[in-house]
Amino acid sequence: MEPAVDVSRDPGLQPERTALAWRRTIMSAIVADILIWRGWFHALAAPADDGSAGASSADGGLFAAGHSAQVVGLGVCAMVACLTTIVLVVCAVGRIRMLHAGVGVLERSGHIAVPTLIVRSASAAIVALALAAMGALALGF
Amino acid sequence: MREPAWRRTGKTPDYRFSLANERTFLAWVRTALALLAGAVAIDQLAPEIAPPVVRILLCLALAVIGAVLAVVSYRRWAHQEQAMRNDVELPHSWLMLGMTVIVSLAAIVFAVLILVRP
Repeated sequence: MEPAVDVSRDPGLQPERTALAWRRTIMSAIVADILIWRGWFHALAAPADDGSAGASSADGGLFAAGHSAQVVGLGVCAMVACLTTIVLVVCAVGRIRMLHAGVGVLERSGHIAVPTLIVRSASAAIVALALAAMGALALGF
Repeated sequence: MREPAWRRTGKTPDYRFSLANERTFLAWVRTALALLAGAVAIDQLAPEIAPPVVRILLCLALAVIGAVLAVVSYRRWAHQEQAMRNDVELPHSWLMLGMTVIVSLAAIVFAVLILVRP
């Protein structure tokens, strides 16, 4: 016996595939994010190279004298990276909701096209993430 | 935000084409993210792959390409939808050829660096 066909669903599962594409994009952004955070944590944990041996190696970490500017800079990059990922996740969650809501009303297809704001925000978030990555690269040098 | 003027011209494309265009945009965005993650990963996980100056310049180049690709993917998405709305031929784009060349070049450069590493 043939299973009942849900006529409200797109037979090519287009909205579902698009929602999954947004999920994959979030995961890629989180990978880039984690790598930038990793650089910051390494700088935090490393003892100061060029600070005075006694003072900075004793307390080390967050308050190490030798590389505090580098650590602060990497921290800013990590925060920017985190922020861009949050923007991307907000875009994706909003879009996935629209897509799931739109599955039932495919005949009113105007409701399911992506708003320009979401595309622009996602694009701008990636540019900001790229700037954070460049900053992290330059500061790690 | 109001939709830009071009989104009210012509006819609304079939939702399947709109969604396909959106997925293509997301695929390019993921390519940009992969370049960014790759740049930071090479810098952090393989610090002795090349002399420091060469390594930083290569990684910065990858990150810049990622940023440019994010902008280009938005423009491509907008141009494709404009073409669909006005029922004209989809615009030709050098993006695929450009990215093929860039990714091949990056692969060759890093392969050589890995091979000649002491």
